[in-house]
Amino acid sequence: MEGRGVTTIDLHPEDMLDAARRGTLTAAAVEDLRAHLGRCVACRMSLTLPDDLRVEAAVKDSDPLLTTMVRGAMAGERIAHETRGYRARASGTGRRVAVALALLFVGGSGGAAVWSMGGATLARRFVPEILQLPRHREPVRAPSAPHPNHLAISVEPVPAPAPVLAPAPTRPQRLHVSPPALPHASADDLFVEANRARRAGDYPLALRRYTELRRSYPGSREELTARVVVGDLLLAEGPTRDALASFDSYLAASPDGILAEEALVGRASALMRLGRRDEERGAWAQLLRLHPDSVQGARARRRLAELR
Amino acid sequence: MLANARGGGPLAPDPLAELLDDANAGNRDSLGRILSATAPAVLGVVRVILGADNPDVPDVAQESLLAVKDALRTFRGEASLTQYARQIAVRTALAARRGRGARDRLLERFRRESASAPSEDQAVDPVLRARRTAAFRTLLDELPEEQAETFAMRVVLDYSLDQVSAATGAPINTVRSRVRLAREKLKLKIENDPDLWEVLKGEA
Repeated sequence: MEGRGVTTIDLHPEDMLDAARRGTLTAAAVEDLRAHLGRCVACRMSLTLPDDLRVEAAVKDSDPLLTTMVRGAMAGERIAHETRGYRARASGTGRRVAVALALLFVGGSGGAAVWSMGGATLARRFVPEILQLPRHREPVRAPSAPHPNHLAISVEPVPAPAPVLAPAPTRPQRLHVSPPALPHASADDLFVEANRARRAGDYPLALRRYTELRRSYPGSREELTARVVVGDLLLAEGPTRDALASFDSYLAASPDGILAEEALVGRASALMRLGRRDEERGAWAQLLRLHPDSVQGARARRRLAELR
Repeated sequence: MLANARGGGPLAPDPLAELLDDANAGNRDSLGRILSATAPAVLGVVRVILGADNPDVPDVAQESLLAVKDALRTFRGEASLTQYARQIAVRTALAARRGRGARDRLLERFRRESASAPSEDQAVDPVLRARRTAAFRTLLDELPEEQAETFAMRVVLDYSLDQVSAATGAPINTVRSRVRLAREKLKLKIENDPDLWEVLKGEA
């Protein structure tokens, strides 16, 4: 495809984008398209989206949902698929989560038990994705989608990361059976186990491990990190006051910690939800003062403007 | 001869399509093989459009595969059977998304707001990736139905304009117009989201 001097009048050169993905752009057209991409954030994002989405679309052959789907389609009906974390039980679940989290904060294992009675589903839905990223990435097979040649121009090469998948879910337990304690586990062991359980959607076990971590290794790097993790989780669904307490406890213990920025954002967000405007204003200002390059800077400035 | 996924080049005969007559004649083994082979692609599309953690994924994935099964008799061989299944999954998932939109939007908003710490390599940072895909999904909610379907085929299925035209039956200029409008709304959406804007402007 020839270059045609793309101007701002050519809002989004669809044909050039197609040709670029086919690798049939001429050098002049490449320059034109590159210039357009330098200006157009929407086209730039559109070009990276297929790669972003391909990661999300990755499906394991062993995914039990596939079997359910095929069985249901063969039978001509939908079959209930019981997967931990997929189906929220609305009635009373929020209350159970709140009680469980409150118990967690007083250090009791009862929190995990109460949590499990609701199928541990609500929190699974609301846990920030940032907290669900596995450390060990597994190779998985992408669906047999035709993926075209990638751009023949150096727009923004996006190496496709290994897909992020939770382990295959198993049948949920309705009544909690206390998971075995790990008496000789190190802080790292407990933290890894807790995170692994959380990623697998096994929240009762995850909470148990975080609690053990808190009891056995208070003040350790892992335990401090867990305070922010739990704070985010509480901010999502649990009692906001407890979320605030969790962030505050991290900041009190580790004001310059590696997660201080995130804890400050969490603290400000919690204060916003609690309607404590003066304190919220102070929290956003503190974030900007201590972390002027924060990715949440724009949000902080926006809120500060709103709070004036 | 089948059209290639992009560029219109020829493809080898689709082995799944060879099972089609048997399946439509009631051969359950052939039907099962077709459904088993297309189910991963269907599930992948549903996860992309609804969000991988969306609690409606199992139901909508099953609805989609049921729709694929129902549509096998009308398959005309203009694309591979897997591609055909993916098109059906796009439509089913978009319809489900519209029906269940409010809850999804809350979830997406939460995810977008909860994503924070940047990494050194923004292009592969899962948090930023999640933010981009979340913006895409909320855009699907806000677009008129035809624009959403067109844009999803373009982005999720990576279809060319010609392929979208063939799949939707809309003239190519209509497709072009729908994509342009969708892209304009995406641009507005990015510009009105300071966090997303900050991330994306740095990718220029």
